[in-house]
Amino acid sequence: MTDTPYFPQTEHHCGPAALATVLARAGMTASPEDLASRVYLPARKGSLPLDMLGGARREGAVAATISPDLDTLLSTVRDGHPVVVLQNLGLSWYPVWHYAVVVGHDLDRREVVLRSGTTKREVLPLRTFDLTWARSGRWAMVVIQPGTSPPSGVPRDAYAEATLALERLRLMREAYAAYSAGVVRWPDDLQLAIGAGNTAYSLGDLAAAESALRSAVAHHPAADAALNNLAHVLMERGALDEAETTALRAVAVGGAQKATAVGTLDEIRSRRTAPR
Amino acid sequence: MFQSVKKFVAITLIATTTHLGFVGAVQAAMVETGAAAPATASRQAAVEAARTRLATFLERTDVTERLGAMGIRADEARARADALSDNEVLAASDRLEQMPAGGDALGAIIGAALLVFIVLLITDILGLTKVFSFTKPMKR
Repeated sequence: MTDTPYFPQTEHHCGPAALATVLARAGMTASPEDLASRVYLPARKGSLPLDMLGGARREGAVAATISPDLDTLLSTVRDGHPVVVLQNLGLSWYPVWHYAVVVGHDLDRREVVLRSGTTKREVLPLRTFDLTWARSGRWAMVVIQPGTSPPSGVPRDAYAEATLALERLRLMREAYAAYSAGVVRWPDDLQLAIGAGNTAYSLGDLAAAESALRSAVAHHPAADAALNNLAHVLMERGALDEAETTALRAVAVGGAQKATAVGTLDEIRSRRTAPR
Repeated sequence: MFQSVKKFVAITLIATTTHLGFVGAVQAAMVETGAAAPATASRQAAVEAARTRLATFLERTDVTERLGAMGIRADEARARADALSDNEVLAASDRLEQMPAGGDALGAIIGAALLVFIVLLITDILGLTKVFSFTKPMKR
């Protein structure tokens, strides 16, 4: 990945520089200076891993940690996703924390290539790198532009969780794109499908919401939340007959969302009897 | 006397049960994504409680003062907390509960406790609690 951008860091700002690097590679531009105000903790002269994840999300990216092992790291890089890693360049009892970005590797020569601090191309023996990385518990994070297929190193639950965090931030356009890409990869995931429907609904795109929720119901016929939300969208689209039968199915499940489903059914019925 | 007590109980019951009737009627609504799938729905109440606890913590004057001393404004601290995922918030909130001074609204918090909390926040994620007292700033 020689085309991965490089942002040389200023003092103590390896976190913002690493974040800017992976965001730019994902096609999302942000300057290290702007990112510093969102991830840097002056009193610690560093950036917390949690703020690195949150900072990427506030830029509208899907940000998740990957499984803490070398195979996952290298395969993620091979798939074209640079990975932010936390290294301890000091000793276990005297740590010197440092964020760098793994951008490539050469398995024959047992080397990894990093963008690191003020070094644009740092080549480290795999073993040396892994020693410094292991001392951070092998913390590693990827940043994905919403709509891009999830990297294989990101487990489904972690992807869904990171996307839900975008929805909670009310970044609906980004969350919808991320949910949709997730559904392509994991068509039978209930949360991703409902998330796609709910965010499309929030964006006012009722047709897209209906389509996503129909898919959720097709894969999970007894999911009362999916049935309720589909009934709600059908009602708003004026398809009151199907809305009613769908809401009845949601109520019949008798699950955790029963009260909401009854409310939806009542609303549909009152709209049916209301004079036009 | 007994009659009036009975009357009072009856009126109270009517009032409260009528009220319950109102509370019980749920409006038509979309179920939120986080509460939609069984896997996450079961912990939704815990997530909401953890988010509230974290938000309450960040509103306290002693905490905002301490954060200010660390170079983070209160609104920025809130924005950072809001960008955390549900699992991350649950982990952070667990840490808050385990703090010696107590993270709830009643407990007094000593100045250093917030720093401890933030440090634990990192180390909890990383599993490094034992070494963290030796931390020194990143050099490069």
